[in-house]
Amino acid sequence: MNNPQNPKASAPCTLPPELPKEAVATDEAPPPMGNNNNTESATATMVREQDRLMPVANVSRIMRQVLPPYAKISDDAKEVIQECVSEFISFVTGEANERCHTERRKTVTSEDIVWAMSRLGFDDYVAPLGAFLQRMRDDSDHGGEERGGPAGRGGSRRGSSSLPLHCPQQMHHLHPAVCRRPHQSVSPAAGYAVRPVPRPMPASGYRMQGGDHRSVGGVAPCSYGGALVQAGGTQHVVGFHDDEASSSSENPPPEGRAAGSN
Amino acid sequence: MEPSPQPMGVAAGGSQVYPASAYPPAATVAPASVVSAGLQSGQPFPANPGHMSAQHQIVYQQAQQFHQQLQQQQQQQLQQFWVERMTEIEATTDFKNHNLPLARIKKIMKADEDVRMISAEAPVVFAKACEIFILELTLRSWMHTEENKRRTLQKNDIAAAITRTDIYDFLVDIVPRDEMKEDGIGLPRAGLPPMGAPADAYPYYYMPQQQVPGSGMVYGAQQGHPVTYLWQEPQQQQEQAPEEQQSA
Repeated sequence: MNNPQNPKASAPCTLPPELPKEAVATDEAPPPMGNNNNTESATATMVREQDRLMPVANVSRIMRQVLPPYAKISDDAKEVIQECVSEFISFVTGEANERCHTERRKTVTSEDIVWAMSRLGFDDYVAPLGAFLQRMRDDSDHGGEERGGPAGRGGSRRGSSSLPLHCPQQMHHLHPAVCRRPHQSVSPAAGYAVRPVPRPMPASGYRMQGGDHRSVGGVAPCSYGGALVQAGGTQHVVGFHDDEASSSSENPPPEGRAAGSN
Repeated sequence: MEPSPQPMGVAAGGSQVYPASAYPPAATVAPASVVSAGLQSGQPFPANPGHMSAQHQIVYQQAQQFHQQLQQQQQQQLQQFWVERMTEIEATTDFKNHNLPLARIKKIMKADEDVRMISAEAPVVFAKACEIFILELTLRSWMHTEENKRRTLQKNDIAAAITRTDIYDFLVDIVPRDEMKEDGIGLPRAGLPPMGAPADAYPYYYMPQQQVPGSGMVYGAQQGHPVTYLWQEPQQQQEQAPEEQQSA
């Protein structure tokens, strides 16, 4: 199973030097600080200084949203926030990736990101991000329907999304064992445990088109992961929303969505 | 200010005790010298132990009330912050443009060699998460700026926010230690100018930070648990919870 996947998985990688490093993933669970140090050393050797931080203009603009008009921000404060954001991304990514290894998956999904945040103490982020994900997917569905050109891609996406329905169920099955806090299990077809072979498709790439994103060619091949995320996300978001009573009303029933996908 | 505590001292007859802990006569000298040295303004303290007890009690209570009000105010700001985040997300209509470049987020994620494949949605979610992260960290830092009566958010404000908030433990290495020390230095200077009674209480409460560790510990012991942890905070990051409760 793994052998056929490797050639296809290696194709979408945007960083060629990583190819020979693909090996059997271990279930190591290093402490967050240890992971932090590893990330820092990796960052220093692999990423240019310029690309290691978020742009200061973007960071400053966001900071001002929460500050009074008369507030000033010193340059060293902006630099510190830039560093903190990169550290935040590495910190959460490391935790999310650990979960992927535990569940024998290779693609870090948005659900993994949200899960990692709740695990690392950023509980307040879960509800806003869950709502954000839900609205983003609704927007994508509408966007696909409105335009004639993307109709073909929309059809392709719908076709591809029917296959990954099995994986999210499997993922959901594993969820209670991994997560500290038990989630309500929703498995319409619990019998399915087959994991389909990932196939690169442009549908997801279309949804992610943007000024900055267009330059990254590797995004399109990850479309299968995107489709998987969408199907899986539906059930996963349900789990999160069940914990947040105030948010549950905003989430459409997953079965209806699954039926629509089929 | 000066006349009011005298009657209470006389009424107590020198047997008055602090609500937080007992006030042994033998320890009256050390706190007095520490306080006098710290204030540096030579504010006279009466030699009578009864008067000192009364004054200490009043100052302590004032400091306590001040911090409780401050903490409540900041908690309200944070609650309002999260309500606004939810409202803003529910009002979002444009999902094509992001406040942070997705390509760079992906590069940072990829800096971890263990990360193999990233779904297309992950950087988008991270862009939103980072925006919230920047906003919350900035808000908590600004609270410290306001406490020091400044209008420019500085590096030490961010350092203070990081030390006060448990979920920011992973950031302690980002900010050097000297920024945390600067935090202590900034407080008394900024605290002196405003309102009379609270002004006296504020620097009085925090002066021990600048004294030698021994004196600080002695003084902290007199005032009880919170001050002790406040003093120990720079050395032990594990004492985050008490520090956060004080909301200094």
